[in-house]
Amino acid sequence: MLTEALLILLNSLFYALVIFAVSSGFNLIFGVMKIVNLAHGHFYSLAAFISAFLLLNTKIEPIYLAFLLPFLAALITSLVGLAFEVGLLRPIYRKPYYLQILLTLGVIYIFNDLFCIIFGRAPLQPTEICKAPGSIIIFNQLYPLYNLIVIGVSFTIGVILWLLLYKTKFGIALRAVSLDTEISLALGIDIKKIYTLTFVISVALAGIAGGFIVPVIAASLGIAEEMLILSLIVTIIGGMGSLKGALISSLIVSIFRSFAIFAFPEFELLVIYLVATIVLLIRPVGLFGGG
Amino acid sequence: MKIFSLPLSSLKIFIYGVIVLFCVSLPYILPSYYISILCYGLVFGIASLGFTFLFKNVGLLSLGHAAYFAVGAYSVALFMKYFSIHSIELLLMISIFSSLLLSAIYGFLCVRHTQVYFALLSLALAQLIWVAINKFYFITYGADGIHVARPTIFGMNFSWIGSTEFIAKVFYYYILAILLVLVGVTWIIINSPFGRSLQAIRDNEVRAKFIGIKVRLYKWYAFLFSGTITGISGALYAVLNNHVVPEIANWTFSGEIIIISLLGGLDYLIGPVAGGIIYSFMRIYIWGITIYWKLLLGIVLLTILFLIPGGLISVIHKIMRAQIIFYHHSKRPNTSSLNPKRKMKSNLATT
Repeated sequence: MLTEALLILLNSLFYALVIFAVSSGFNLIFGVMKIVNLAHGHFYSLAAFISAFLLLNTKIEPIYLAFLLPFLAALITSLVGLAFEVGLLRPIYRKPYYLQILLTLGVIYIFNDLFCIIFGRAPLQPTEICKAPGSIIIFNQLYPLYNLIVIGVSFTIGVILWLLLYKTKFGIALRAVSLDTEISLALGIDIKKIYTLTFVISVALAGIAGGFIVPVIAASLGIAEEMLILSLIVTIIGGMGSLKGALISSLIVSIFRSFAIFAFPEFELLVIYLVATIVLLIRPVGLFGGG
Repeated sequence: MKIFSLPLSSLKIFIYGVIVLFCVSLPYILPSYYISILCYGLVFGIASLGFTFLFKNVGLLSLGHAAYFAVGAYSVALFMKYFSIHSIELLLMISIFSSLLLSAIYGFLCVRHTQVYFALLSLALAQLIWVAINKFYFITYGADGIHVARPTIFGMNFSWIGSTEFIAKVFYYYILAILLVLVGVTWIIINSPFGRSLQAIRDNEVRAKFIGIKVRLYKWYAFLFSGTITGISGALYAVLNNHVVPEIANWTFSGEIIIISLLGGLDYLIGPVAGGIIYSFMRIYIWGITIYWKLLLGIVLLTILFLIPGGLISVIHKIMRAQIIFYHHSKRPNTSSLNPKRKMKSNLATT
């Protein structure tokens, strides 16, 4: 029983890091650019599709080099994100909030069908890369090494993100913009550049998550919406525009989710909603939300 | 001339009367096929009337109105299936009650928040209904959906006419009557002191609180009204479509409701209805061309947002205003669309 619980915890750490990678980007975009990017889940699924497509259609020897393909998928996704930011988001920065939400809503419709046209309707799942590293014995149970590698990669990326935000000049400028746009403009910070970089970094985070999750979860149309809803819930629990909140609430969400799947799979999402509702009733702005 | 001490010129009454007469005579002008598409349009129009009321008057952007629509539709289907209730009046009562209940709970959670937070919360909560319908397949039959038989209207089954005829010659009038009542009720609410308080909350919540408006309670009432209207349209949809599927609870349908009201124009009470009719005809014809109609839907949404933010009715209105100068139309609200502050001022000017 204890070993099972520990394995569930390890699994939920895996999912928590994936959810964190997506929802932190979602949060970062909102914190800095004050834009709700409903299409964020779709960047995640775009990377998943590209990664699955590359893994299925290329033969790379040795197999360990195949671990570079998810990064390539993330790179392509961030280029799409760059085009999205420059082409669609730039004209609406000064517009009311609902125009921005509705714009990203329209983009979701377009993305959904474009993915269908490009990648087909069948789910894509490359399993070779998952089997390649083999598995190790933890707590007397077999556990796929791939998941541990993904945990390691996400951890490294999380640390890099933290260093970028808190130890570099760019990070200081970014946090200044998120606190007060006009003052930072007066201080001579190039806001356009900061916005574009923030968006590209956030999309790249979602892209890496999508690229690495794909052997575990098949790339299909539904995963974008599922991830969007999960990151919405994470944002609601953790509070808008707080990275610390995003990390802690993705851990909470993922632990509750894993145990719910184990105990009563029918009510998986219901349990998470229940947690979100309780948090909302006690602290309407979320655990780490300001105001 | 004034009814209930509300502003209404005699010319307007005349125009609306002509429109209503035209609608009543339509089943004898057009073939039944077009009338059934028109029925879908009217039902979608009622659904987005609820959304538009909340968005335009309270400033709350709900991304989850599909939930109330689906609850209205599914309560008709479930009660017909499991309790063999066939009277449409009773079924409507049930779906009004269930959508009222759902919007009471969701409203309680949502109205504490404004703007972005409200939008996200409404989306997340609405998605719960979609998940529930899919997960409880032993009750709702999951993705297969539930068949809805023909209900009795005022105790009559109309078994002597075919289903197309039933929709076109009987149910069309039922939908039309409900639509007219709901538009009337919405109009009265918007122009009542309660509606004005809602608009005050939209413009400045803090000031509204200072002059003694119970902000959260009023927002909750508005949410209840909005959700219930959408629930009624869901019930009508279930009967009209003969079948309910979980897709109507998904966020894509919430998006469609929003697109409908933007298509028609937010500034006009009749905008959502016009948007619904245009949308349902557009949908039928695009379905004939391609299966990727959602792609075109997204493009339509982006086009409206960037090029005609006032909706199609505002375009017609502008053309009319440019050609015919009505002497009293100088008092009409400025139709530069999505600017709530300017709208507020001109609304006050008409009272």
